[in-house]
Formats: sequence, C-alpha cells, structure tokens
Amino acid sequence: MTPSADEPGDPRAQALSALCDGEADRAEADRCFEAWRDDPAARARWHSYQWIGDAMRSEDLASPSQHDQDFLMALRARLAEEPVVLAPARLEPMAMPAGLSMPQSAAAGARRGRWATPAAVAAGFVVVAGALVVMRQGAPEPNTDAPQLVRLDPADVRNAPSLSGPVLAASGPGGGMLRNPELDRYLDAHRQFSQGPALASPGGVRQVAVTPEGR
Amino acid sequence: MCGLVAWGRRLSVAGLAAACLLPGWGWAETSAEKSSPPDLRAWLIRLHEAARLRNYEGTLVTSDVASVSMWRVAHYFDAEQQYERVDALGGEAFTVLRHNDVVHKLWPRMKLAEVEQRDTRARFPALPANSEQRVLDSYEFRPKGMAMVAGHAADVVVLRARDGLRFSQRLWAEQRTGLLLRADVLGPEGQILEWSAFSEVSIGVKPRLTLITDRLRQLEGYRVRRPAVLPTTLDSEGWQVNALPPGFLQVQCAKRSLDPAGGPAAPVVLQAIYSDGLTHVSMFVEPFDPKRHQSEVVGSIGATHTLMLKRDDQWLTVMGDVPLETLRRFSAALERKR
Repeated sequence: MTPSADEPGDPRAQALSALCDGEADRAEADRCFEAWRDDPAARARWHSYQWIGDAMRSEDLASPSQHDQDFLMALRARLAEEPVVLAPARLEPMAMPAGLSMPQSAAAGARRGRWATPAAVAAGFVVVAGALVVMRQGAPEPNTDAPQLVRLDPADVRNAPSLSGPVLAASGPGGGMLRNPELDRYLDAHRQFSQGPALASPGGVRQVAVTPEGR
Repeated sequence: MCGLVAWGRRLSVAGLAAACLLPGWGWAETSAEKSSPPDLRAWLIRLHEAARLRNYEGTLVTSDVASVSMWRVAHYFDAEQQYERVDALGGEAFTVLRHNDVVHKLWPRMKLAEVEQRDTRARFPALPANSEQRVLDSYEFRPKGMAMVAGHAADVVVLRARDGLRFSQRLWAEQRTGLLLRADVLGPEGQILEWSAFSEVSIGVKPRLTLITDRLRQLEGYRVRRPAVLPTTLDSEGWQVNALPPGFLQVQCAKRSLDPAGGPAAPVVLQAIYSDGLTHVSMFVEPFDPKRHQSEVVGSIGATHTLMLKRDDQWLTVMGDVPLETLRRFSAALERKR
C-alpha cells in the first residue's frame, strides 16, 4: 500500500467519500477497508467524513464547540439549584413478568442482591454526571484519530459532583444529598419490621434485603 | 399417612384461626367504622395464615427499578414452631435463618452474624384480631380473576388504595392454600413500583428443619452482633403525634443504634413505626448534627420514599412504601410535647 496523501483530489479520498455516500463499488470498498485498516490518516478522514455528513443532516451537530460547553455549564448550574431527588439509574429494564413462568434466561440475567440498590443510588448520580462529560466537540481536527471529548476547565471538574464513592452532602438552599451508607442504615432499621408472618414470602423477603456495607 | 395427618392438623389450625374471629366480626360491626363482608376478611386471613402455617420451598424473585434479586427460600411450621431460611442467589453470600422470633443474618464472607429479636404481632395483641379489617378500611378489595404463577393457579386481587396516601397492591394467592405467590406495589397510575414473586415453589413439602438448625450450629469464627434495640414510647421521649394520616396506627417504638456494630460513637435514633395493615412507615428522630445532616432531602428507591428534614434542633427521617405526601404528613404530625 502506498502511503496516503491528503489532497482532496487523492483517489483514495474520493473512494472513501464514495463509500460514505454508499456509492462505492465492491473493488473501491475493499480498497477503502484496507486503507482504513492500515492507515491512521485514512481512519481520521473516514471519521471526518462521517462527521461532516452528520452535521449536514442535522443542525444541532453543526453548532460550534463552545455552544455545547456553554450548555453544559448552564445545565450544571441549574441542576445544582434543584432539590435533590435520589433515584437510582435504571440498570436494566424491569422485567414485566406475564404469568411469570421464569425461563432460565431470567435467572441468568438476575443481578446481585439488594445491596446493589444503594450503589445504584450513587450510580444514578455517577451516570448523570458522566453523561454530561462525554459529548462531541465541534468540527473535528484533521489527523486526530480519537473520538472528541469536551475539554473541561479544571475548575469545573473540581466543582462537579464526585464521580466515585459516596456522594458528599452539598450545601445550599433547596437540598442536600445524604451519604449512601447512612441512608442504608435507616433503610435497614425500617425494613426489619415485617407486616406478614413470613420472611420467605413475596411481601416479607424485602425485609431481609439489607446491605452488608458498614458491617 | 403421617403427611395426611399433618395436613389435617394444619388445615384445622387454619380453620380454627378463621373461626376464632367470628365473634370479632360481630364486634367490628358495632363499631363506627364500616366493616367488610366476612369473605373478604377470610380471604386475607387465609393469606396470612398460609404464610405462617404452610411448609414450602421455592425461589423468590424481587425487583424494583434498580435491580433484580433472587432468593432460595424455605418455610416450615412444625410442632407449633416456625422455621425459615432465605439464601441470596448471586452476588454476595447472605443467609437469613429464623426460628420463631429470633432472626440470624449471616454474611459468610465476612464471617459476621447479626441476631435480632423480631417484633411479632404478639406484642400488640389488640392488632391481630382486626388487622385484616384495618387493611379493608384503607384498601378496597377488588377480585381480578385467576392467573398462573410458578405453575400454580392463583386468585388475583387488587387492594386498591382508598386515598392517595398509600399505594395499591396486587396480590396473587394460590387457590388451594391461599399462599401468597406474587405481590406488586402499584403507583398512582397503576404502574408497578416493585414486585416480588415465586418463580417456582413446592407447597406442602416435608419439613427439613436441619436446613436451619444445622446452619445455626456452624458459626465458629463468626463475629456475632446483637443490635441494641430499646423499646420506649414517644411520650417518654418528649414527643407527641397529632393527626396521623388516616388508617395508620403505631406498631413499634424503640431506640436503636444506627450502626449495627453499636460502637459508642454511633448515632442513636428514636424510631416509631406506623402501619395501616398492609404497609408501614418509619419515623426516625435524632438530634441535629451539622456534620451529618444538611438541608431537606427527598429520595426514592422503588416504592420506598424517604424524607429527611430539620425540625427545631432535631433531624427527622421518615420513610416507607407510601407517597411522599404521606411522609410529609407524618413529619408534620410530630411535635414536641408541651
């Protein structure tokens, strides 16, 4: 394979462009795939073409990078003012059992015990915060071969909610977050009371679903 | 043959329990509250008694928004004693063993055991006789036909909340024995907030008590903790409760350490529990601690809502499988005695 050239007139670039548009024939496509495999510049070009196509098809993606970053900052400020609601992220779709003839696949898909829930409470915030971080930048730079990430000001990272471990209480009007192990202890004390006579029962088994954390 | 005799004994105990309540129904009808037809209460009584008296083994699945859990369970009633064993399937090993009032929780990996005396209804003798009636006061009984659960035919009933202060529940009870096979907690739009159900169950098995008794003897090397729970009254702690949300009565009040290890530095809370017969709400009261407590917090996990707020120099935590509004009413009902 000859080294790649970057000029727009380059036949390989044209072949790549044709492939993006679905107009490449079989031979052209094969050449593109080989180039993509062997040549980082070809991969970067492919990525650029994809980006250009997306931006052409969607106005949202054609905005300058600063637009996204401004939006992020504004959203984070608004979120900080909201009263905090602890809600775990949906880790997997809740199975709606119809007739509940549990197939083996359901057993295989079952997660670890209830103590996953407290982690999920933190995870709910981790997921939200994480999702805010990873976003597209604007027009990609040529000759880069990695997905673009928003460059955050270091000060923003420091002020962002903690992405690891228990979430610390945030001061301010309207709400604060509780450390998760604390909430678990109240939950344990609450759940130890059971309405029915049996623990080994759909109603009663939740009483036993306590976390070992902090023990 | 032994099995048949044992069956007969168990059935007659259940029948006796139901019959004992006949005078209670007459009493209930003279009270100001409306009373429900005997067959509705009988259905609920049979549901409760089946869980207490039947021998069964099976696999339970529980789910809320965040996770699905599975448990291997066994329940035996033998010679007037109740035995239970629950093992977590998947994830961290965890076992619960119960013999009558005493519950052991075991974490084999950490070699840790917690032993607690479970609060039984026997401590509040006034309640069991009419707890089924209390359920029917707050929930409307709506039969929904028949369905199959874990290979068993079951009657489906919705206990529909009579007001917006509690969640409805949909129950599946095995037709022959009345054993609860599945329970859904339903939100205001009928959406499932949590559900738990047997994925398979064998009812009427021979009791295998050694599953519990043998395991209780294998605790060498275990740290054994007995969380300290001190029964008390709100009144003696200087609190009073006015205008509770309708249908709820206090069923427990105790001081306990929030830290299961019960270290001297662990916070001690006053916990009062209120029940409407189907669900319960805990109210925790403790001195306000700026290091641990901040401004108001609301939260939810599945059907369980939590409200935490500062009241004068105290920190209130209210939680239960009820809407947030109900928790607010509970927090508003609590005040210092004058």
